[in-house]
Amino acid sequence: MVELVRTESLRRYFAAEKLGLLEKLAGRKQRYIKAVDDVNVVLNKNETTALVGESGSGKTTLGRMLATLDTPTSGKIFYSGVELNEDALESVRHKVQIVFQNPYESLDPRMSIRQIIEEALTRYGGDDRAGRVKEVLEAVGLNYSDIHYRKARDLSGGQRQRVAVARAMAANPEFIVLDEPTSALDASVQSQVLNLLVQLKKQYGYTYLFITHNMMVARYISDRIYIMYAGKVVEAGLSEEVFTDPFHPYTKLLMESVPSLEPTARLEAMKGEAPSLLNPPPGCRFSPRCPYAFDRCFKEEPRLHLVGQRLVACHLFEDRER
Amino acid sequence: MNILKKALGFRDDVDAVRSAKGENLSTWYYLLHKKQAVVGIAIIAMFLVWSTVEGIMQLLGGYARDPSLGWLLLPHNPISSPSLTTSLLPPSLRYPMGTNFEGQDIFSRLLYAAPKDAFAAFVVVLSAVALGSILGIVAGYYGGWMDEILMRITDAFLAFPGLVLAIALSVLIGPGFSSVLIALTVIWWPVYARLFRGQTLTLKYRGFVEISRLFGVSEAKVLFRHIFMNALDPVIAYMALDFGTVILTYSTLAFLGIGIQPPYPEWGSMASNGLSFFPSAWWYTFFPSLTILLVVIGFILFGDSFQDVISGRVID
Amino acid sequence: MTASLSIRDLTVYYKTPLGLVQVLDGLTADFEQGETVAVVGESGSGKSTMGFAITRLLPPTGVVEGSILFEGQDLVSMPQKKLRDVRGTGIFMVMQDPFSSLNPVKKVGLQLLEAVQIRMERRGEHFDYGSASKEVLKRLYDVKLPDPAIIMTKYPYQLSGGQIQRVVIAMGLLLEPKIIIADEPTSALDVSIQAQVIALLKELQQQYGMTLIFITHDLAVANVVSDKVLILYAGRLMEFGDKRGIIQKPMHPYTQGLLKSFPSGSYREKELYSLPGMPPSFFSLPVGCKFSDRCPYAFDRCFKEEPGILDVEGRAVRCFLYGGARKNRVA
Repeated sequence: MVELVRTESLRRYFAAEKLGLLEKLAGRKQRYIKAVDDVNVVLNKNETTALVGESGSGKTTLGRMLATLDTPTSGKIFYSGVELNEDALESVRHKVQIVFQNPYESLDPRMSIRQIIEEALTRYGGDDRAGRVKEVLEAVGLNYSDIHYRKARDLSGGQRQRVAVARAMAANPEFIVLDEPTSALDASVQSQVLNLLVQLKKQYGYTYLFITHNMMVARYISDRIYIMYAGKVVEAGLSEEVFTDPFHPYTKLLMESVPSLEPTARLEAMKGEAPSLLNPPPGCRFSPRCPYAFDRCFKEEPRLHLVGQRLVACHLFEDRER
Repeated sequence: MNILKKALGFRDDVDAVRSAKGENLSTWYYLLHKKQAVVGIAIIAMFLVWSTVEGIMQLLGGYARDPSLGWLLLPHNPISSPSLTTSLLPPSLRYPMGTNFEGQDIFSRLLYAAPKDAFAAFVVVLSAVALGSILGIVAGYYGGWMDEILMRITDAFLAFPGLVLAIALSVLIGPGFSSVLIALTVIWWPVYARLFRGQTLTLKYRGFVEISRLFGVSEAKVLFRHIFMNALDPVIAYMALDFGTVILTYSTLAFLGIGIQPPYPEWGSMASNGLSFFPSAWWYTFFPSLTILLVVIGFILFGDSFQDVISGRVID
Repeated sequence: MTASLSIRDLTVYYKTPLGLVQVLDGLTADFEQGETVAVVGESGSGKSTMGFAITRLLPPTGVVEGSILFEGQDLVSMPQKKLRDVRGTGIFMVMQDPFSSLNPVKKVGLQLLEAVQIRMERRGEHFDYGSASKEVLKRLYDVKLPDPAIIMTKYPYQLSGGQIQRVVIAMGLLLEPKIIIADEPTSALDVSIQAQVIALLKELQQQYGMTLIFITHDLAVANVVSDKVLILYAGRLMEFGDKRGIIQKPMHPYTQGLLKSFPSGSYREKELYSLPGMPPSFFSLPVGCKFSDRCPYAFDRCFKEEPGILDVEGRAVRCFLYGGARKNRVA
């Protein structure tokens, strides 16, 4: 297991409203939306790490920072052991790629498919660009001659997403961030795209960060999983283990909220709503909704620590062996 | 018809269902089906084709030092020496729109003056777009203090009543065609700066713009290819309308005596001169005004329909 | 049990500049009082069109044929004036985008009071502001919205998607409709909110005995929500019957394919099953059975004729594998 990407105390705060000069003089404090708050993740080479959470969990923001599209407010990102700062950025950028959720928004509507892929090859010499474009389009199961001259609006959602994957592959990245790549697709197309991603990873040795809110997909595709809630990581471990034996109350309740095809399936709904990121609750952010919350939970924020092979941030597990 | 459709890129099945669901088909498809757009396009086409042909003739005339090339295609010499005998004649077969005080054929003069209006419209709008797009896109993309400064400058220009500013500028720069064009461009670009800035603010967060950073695409290329080209769609609709507005403004300035000097004809100044003879020699002011009206309406009809189609479409 | 809604041969066309496009064809189904039926289909299956057809809210380019029997009257031939009386208190629709269901410039409380007013007027009751307000508060409380009194003073943009969806459900309850059609009401919501909304709908449905038609693309959601499932493909009913039966022993090859493609297990164990090809465009539907080009069991007849709806052990299936009925084309 070789580590590829690691973060240390990563934070991303967004200014809630821009303060005018007068307000600043009056002593009004700038408020922040704490989208990602003190997060440590480790992504291993040639593994698929799933980042699971609901809206407001910070998973997309974290994904964007790892894809170098956004700069952290504080904390560090390490890529292959090298710290990601201004200088290292350019050299890392050509090893990282991203596939977005919305296939309708991530392709330039004015460009032909060929041009879209070619753009990915900007850094590469003109020599066999055409060949490479053909190669990646066929690798994702699209027919070059049928498709290369078309515009994005002529393609179906599944096809557009394949183009997005082909584009991500074109420049030979090491690490691909996939932000809900199948959420906007139909069930039958979703399977096709998931199979494709698995096959490509095997063939080209990619490392994936797979961001999703869909538990079943996360379970299927990932080796390791991080569960996020309100800007923090609450649980992390091997996917199979986390799914069969969730530790954190949020993870447990989340699993129970997911509809399944079992005949006796029943949904257990969590009470309440996700907390405000401007003013998170004191102590554990999940405490207002947690059925197991006790005194300490409302006062002290639990730290993420190792319990066996699992990382959990919950006071219920604090006494267990390290 | 089918070949035409294919050439314009229609896809029957996709289009049919999308159209049924209320989505918009290819722009041209809609335009060609809308009566008002077709009328507008017809007027504009006639205007532009004629202006190009006549404009070339006038240019050639200039090079060959033979100005008569400019009126080769016209029924009469538009800048013939004043003659009392032909002065203020009503419309007839010989002089379809009558003659002016100097005895010159109004119809020929209108035709002779057309290229300048077309030229003015294009130069002003395209310069305004060029200038406005650069400023607007830079402001929108980089934000921060650059945005603030650029927008305050834009606001300053917008605060002035356009016509007043144009008149002041023309007087400052001096008489002549180019001074009018410069003046008009100066009052025209702020609107485009705003338009482009607005578009940029949305576009800069789109997936394909963000991802180009990972490809190492140069910023200039991103700004041009992704932002500018995509921002153009809704702006083009506005531009179509704008051509007409420029012609109207230009004619208004000419009416007020700014711009082209006599003896060269100009639609606006012709309408102005003709007023003194209204209503007895009604044709003198009527036909120039009508021409201005028709051409501007042509642009409005086209631009309006275009805008309708585009605005529904931008969402896709 | 008398059916509260009966659809017979429902066919919907759209008028396009290039001719008529048929989107729904020969839809026949009964919805019993108090039942929840999940209408399952992927995008382009015509499921939203079905919802709009029943509530007669199609755009002017839509043409409806067949019959929709509600309380003994045919909605297809009903004039718009009478239809307005049916909508809201007879049939209520919750739409996919939570924000498009409410008026953005009116406060939420006002809109809910209007709903009560409509209901009372239709029943010839006298509208009393005080008691109506109490009812609205009660319903907001029923849908588990915190601080109902405060919610009433808010505008839609001040609420989250999940909250809006619950407000719309509250509105539905205030209208006390016989039938609620919910078009992907939870697709835009988080998993945990989805679970809350689903639990809510079921609870209220059981309490008030409404018929719930739940349109979704997610079979798992259909599984936890419904009593019966209707599978829609290319605008046609492919299978319809008891939920447990359909999910445990699907008959139609499309249903089987859908169930098999559901992600389960891990990629290390197996590849996900995926149906080959794509759903067809309505303008170029295959001749014969509309699923024939993707069906692993298709045989000769499937490509030439379209199967009619058969009744096999209480299940409605449109497939020649189960017998020979040929579809009678209406148009």
